[in-house]
Amino acid sequence: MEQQIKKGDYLLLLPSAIPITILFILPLLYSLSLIFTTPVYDELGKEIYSDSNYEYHYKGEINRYRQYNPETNEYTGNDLRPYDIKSRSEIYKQVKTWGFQNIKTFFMTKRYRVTILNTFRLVIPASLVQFLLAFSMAYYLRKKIRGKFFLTTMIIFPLTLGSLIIASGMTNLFRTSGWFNLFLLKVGLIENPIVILYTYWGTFIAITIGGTAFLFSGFLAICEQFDPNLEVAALTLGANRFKTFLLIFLPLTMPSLLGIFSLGTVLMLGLYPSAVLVGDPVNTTRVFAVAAFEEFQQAFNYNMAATVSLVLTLSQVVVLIVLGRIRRLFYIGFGGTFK
Amino acid sequence: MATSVQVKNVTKRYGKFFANNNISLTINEGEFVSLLGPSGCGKTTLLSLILGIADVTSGDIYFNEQKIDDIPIHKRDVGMVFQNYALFPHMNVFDNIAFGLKMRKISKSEIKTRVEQALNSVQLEDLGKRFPNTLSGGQQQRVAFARAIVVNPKVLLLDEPLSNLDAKLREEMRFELKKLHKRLGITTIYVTHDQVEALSLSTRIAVMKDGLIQQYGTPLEIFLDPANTFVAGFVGFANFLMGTIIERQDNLILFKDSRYGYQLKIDISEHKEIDSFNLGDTVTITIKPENIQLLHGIEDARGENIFHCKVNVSDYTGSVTRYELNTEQGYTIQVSEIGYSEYQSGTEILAVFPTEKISLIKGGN
Ligand SMILES: Nc1ncnc2c1ncn2[C@@H]1O[C@H](COP(=O)(O)OP(=O)(O)OP(=O)(O)O)[C@@H](O)[C@H]1O
Ligand SMILES: [Mg+2]
Repeated sequence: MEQQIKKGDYLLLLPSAIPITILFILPLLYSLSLIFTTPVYDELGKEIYSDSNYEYHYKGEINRYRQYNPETNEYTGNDLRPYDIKSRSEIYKQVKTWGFQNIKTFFMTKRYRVTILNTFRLVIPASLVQFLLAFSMAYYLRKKIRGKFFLTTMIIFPLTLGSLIIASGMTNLFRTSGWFNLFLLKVGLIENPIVILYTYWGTFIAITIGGTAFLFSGFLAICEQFDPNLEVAALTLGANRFKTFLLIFLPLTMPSLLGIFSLGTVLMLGLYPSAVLVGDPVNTTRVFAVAAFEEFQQAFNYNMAATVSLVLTLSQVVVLIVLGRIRRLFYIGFGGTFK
Repeated sequence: MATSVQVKNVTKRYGKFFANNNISLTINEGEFVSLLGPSGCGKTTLLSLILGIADVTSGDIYFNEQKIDDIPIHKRDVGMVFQNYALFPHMNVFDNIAFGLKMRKISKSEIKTRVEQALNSVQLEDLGKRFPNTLSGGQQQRVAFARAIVVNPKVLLLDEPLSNLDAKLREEMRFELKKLHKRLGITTIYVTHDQVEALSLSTRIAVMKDGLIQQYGTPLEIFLDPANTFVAGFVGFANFLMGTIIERQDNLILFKDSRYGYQLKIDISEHKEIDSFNLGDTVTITIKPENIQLLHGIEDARGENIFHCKVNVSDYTGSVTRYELNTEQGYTIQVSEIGYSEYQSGTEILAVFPTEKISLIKGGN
């Protein structure tokens, strides 16, 4: 039985359509307009603004403008101080050109380009490790066993902390005189402290802690809902535990697992705090968000910041599509219990 | 060829709760044994012990005198049909049935012929390519059955396989099952709480309650000679009266009920343990509602086992009319008449308990 949607029913969407337009669609359009525009500079490298009569060439250091008269082709009012500039956009509009300049710049400049490689070098191995950790624990804990509640709570616990606290905890644990190194030194496994903090591995560990907790919380529900009779049926038909897992459990849970996994991976592509706090953000952990934040907060180059974000978004879409394709290789249906 | 199953003093405890309490059952080669009992009495638990998904707390289970405790599930060679069928949703019907054969590393061509045979035997020749979610309940049930028998298991376990089907299909499948068992001769344990299924299918029935076996015997024994009032009630007896044997002449017993003082004559010539009933023994008598005769409009009936009653409630359910009658003394009698009859409530009526239809159970409750 399918219910027909009547015309008037769309009115019900209004309460959600308005906030979505304001909070999501308008900013998105604005950032798209940022991406495809570039400021125009004069021959001295100053950004040009205009109030539609005159062009003003911004002199950053003294915070005022020179006036340019296009008819006489002269700069006048060199010392003219029309206003103390509070906000540039209040009175003057930046003179912009439209085009793909920002995107070209992104791909032609190394410090932007590396963000793609750096992000994926972190996220792909980390998400695979998270998948294995979370799935093996969820598979083990899917049945009622002693201490399940305690273990589950411990594994999900990092989710409640957030990446800032995880990072600060790691700072204490992994610093040269932290427990981790002291322990290894005591045991005699190492002679010099291992440097994990402020390297690729610092970020790797930080996102793995949070990501595993996230995946586990979703995976556990999936594994618990799996109809145990299906496994018993396979066992009675002569499949051993491993074959039952491989031929029955895995293919039937995989689509749901991949659903959660896509979400986790996509979220991870936007990682920021762990890259900055325990990673090496000028080098190996210079990921999308680091570059975007730099342009936004330090260089005030909103166009470039938006462009970096666009590449981040596109990467997320690519990941979703790839994982979606993989997901479709499996039977997508209900492997849960139905009683 | 076929396998016998011995369950010896098996107990299964969950914490302090006895799901199975010291159960012993011997199931001979090729038998069809039903576990019959109300919900929660431990039927599924016993199956899962035989199957190997749960471990016994104490006791042993043997196949052909060989202990199976140490044999892992996938080597026990026990076929199972689940209540929810548990077909693999990501495989089509053919692959579902072929699964067990593939695990046994049988050649492709032989798998093909054997699966086709199995599909034939459950009359699903054309559905090999279909996926389980496109099948009706009855078809799924057949696939589950074919999947279990195609590997020639030593023992076949069926856990309420018909309970998800509608009444008509249930009956059909019951006959199919009976035929298949006859042809294959696999030792079968069948769980149900439907007495009709148990009686029609089984060579022997184990009636269970609260983790204990109440009676283990052929359908006839259980039907005619229930061991206690629980079994009697479960297989459809009603109208219980407790009392003592006050006279015995050969196979005729005179029984006096201790509550209302009724005296009844009972013919026990069909009874298995004729000689175990003695004068003065405390016994319970019972009779099935459909075995009571109703007489209406007879003024002064004389004879044995006649109760003068008034109709309290009548209820026509399609094939039978059920009555609840009350005697003057307050004894309530359940009667079923085949077909439709209309005695209005309040009608004065005579109920006759035929001497040979009354069952005697030792002891009171
Ligand atoms: N894992 C378990 N932990 C605790 N108690 C259990 C467990 N499994 C079963 N039981 C209890 O054991 C008793 C017997 O259960 P079982 O499933 O064998 O009943 P059943 O006879 O198959 O009933 P039904 O006809 O409803 O299927 C029930 O009271 C149930 O609550
Ligand atoms: Mg059960």
